[in-house]
Amino acid sequence: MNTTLIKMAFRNLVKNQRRTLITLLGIAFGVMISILFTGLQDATWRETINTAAELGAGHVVLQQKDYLDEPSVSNRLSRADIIARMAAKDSRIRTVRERVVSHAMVATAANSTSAMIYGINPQTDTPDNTRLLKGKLVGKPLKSGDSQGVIIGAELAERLNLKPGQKLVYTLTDTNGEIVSALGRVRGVLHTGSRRVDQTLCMVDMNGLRRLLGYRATDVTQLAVFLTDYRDSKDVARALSASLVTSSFAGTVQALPWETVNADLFGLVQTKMASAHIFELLILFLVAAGIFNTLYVSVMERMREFGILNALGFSRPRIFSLVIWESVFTAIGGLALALLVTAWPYYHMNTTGLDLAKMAADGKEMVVNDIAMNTVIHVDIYFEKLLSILAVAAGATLLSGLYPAWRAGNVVPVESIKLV
Amino acid sequence: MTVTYQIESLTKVYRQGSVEVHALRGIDLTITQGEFTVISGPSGSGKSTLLNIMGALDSPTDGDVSLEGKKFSTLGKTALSQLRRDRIGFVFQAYNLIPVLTAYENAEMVLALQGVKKEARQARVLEILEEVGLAQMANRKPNQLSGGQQQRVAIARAIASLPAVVLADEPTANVDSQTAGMLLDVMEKLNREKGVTFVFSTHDPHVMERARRTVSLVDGRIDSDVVHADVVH
Repeated sequence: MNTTLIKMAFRNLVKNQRRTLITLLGIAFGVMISILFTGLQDATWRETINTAAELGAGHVVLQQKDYLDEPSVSNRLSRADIIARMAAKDSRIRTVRERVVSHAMVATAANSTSAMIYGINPQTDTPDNTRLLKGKLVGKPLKSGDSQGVIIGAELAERLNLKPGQKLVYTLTDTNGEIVSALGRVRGVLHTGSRRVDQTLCMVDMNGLRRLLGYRATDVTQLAVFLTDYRDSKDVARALSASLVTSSFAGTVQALPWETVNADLFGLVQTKMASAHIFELLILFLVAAGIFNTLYVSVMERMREFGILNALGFSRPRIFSLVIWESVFTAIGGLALALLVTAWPYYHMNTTGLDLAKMAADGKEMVVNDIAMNTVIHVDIYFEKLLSILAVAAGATLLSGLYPAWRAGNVVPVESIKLV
Repeated sequence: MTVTYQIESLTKVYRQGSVEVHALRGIDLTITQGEFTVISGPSGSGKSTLLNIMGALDSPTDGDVSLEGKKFSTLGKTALSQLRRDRIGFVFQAYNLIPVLTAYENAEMVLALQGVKKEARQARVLEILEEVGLAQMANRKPNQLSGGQQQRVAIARAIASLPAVVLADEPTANVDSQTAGMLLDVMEKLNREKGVTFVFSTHDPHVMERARRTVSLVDGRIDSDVVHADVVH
């Protein structure tokens, strides 16, 4: 009997091809919009968060336990090499980088301002692997062994009226609380794309900065942990904390996810993602409403037929399941068509992307949370989210069939058979 | 003779607002196995109502119907549905075949519902389609068949599961007289050779003249109940 029911359900859909096709297209385009929109969200937030992590202290930061409340150089991490090796054992961690940073005053003969001094290793840190070095550089990069060389941010250079070749003095507080200073010469002016970074960026040789701060060779301010997937940050932070508790660093080092360290960005992401979820649900609700309407009309047109089936001995659950099978086939067909219509636009937007700069009237760069973003937007949906959209669409289609199926199952044969 | 139907004091009252319509008024009727009985009467006499109640498609206001000793009043909806599936065949005025199924699939439907295995179903359905002269049209859908052919498929569907009785409500109303004659030939043959009990509701004289028993209804009551012992088969 089940074979007959399935046969009937399938053929009922095929019988009215136009209506079935319209229903399937409704599902397909609804799912397509959801996939593209979610893929856009995923790609955009991934880039934003990863960029923020690169410009900041990574997806997870390892730092001295008091650093969060008092970010001074005296709250440094010792034996950072050992901690880094411990951390790197987690397969979710892509790389661990040393960060030697300090607040400083940067001054010229005419002016002075606050800045952040970053120590970089010219031998290993390149624009390809260090976001802080990426951007438009006017001048020359730092070379290994250049103890006087400084790279400054574009807006800092503008404020201090500095060009490559000119001198500056940077003053900071060392680990003993003493004020120390050093003379530097601007080698290059860098536009990173983040206004906040460009206003305060000052990069010098890391070993030189260590010496100035009174750090030992294996001391760092923080260890920036970069993950393969930023979404693992909380889990990785917990795992690192657990391994630290059982190590000689217990009680001195803490592991914090980016959500804690960059709360503003996290808040923004949460709000935007919540809005996006609402939008996605709205799309799927509208699709479900359309499917319900089609299924309901289809059932009401066939009430006589259901009355006949009931008269012949079809039980109510059987008639109910007949309509549910129609929903099942509608769901399967709709999702298959959805994947078909989504394939090319997704591929195009995943590979080539959509250049919003061409649409922006003023041609300004796109800034999210003070971070200049690539104007070419891509879509790149997480696989589990794709499955989730497909599951929700299938579920919505099946749910849409419940009431029409119930109506069909509760047909009163003697009344419906009279219907012309 | 085995009693198929026992109908006792059957009453059906429809209420339409404050108006009561007495469709049946205390009908007492016995149908035995192998009968070829017509229930006749003018429009509004209660023929279809009686047939609907006998087919467990409707329930009486008073009285009871028993089919092979089973009182309908003691059965729930599921049991009545099973009764219809297993013991009652229906032939409707408008054929009422399932449009997406072939003639073969329409005819085998009740057997499939009963859980009969595929091989047994196939043998039975092909035999029945042969009986009604449609073996060559087994794979056609209803919209590829004439009115008479569709009604023959409906008859095949009704008898495929060897029910206790076939209830036919105006089976010849939508066909021409020649086709009506052909349909009656088929049903008479099944009645004669297989012993299938047929109860018709009709005011078609072609059907009435073939009946071996005619029960006439007027205003919801049995006006006459005549056994035509002299009808030649």
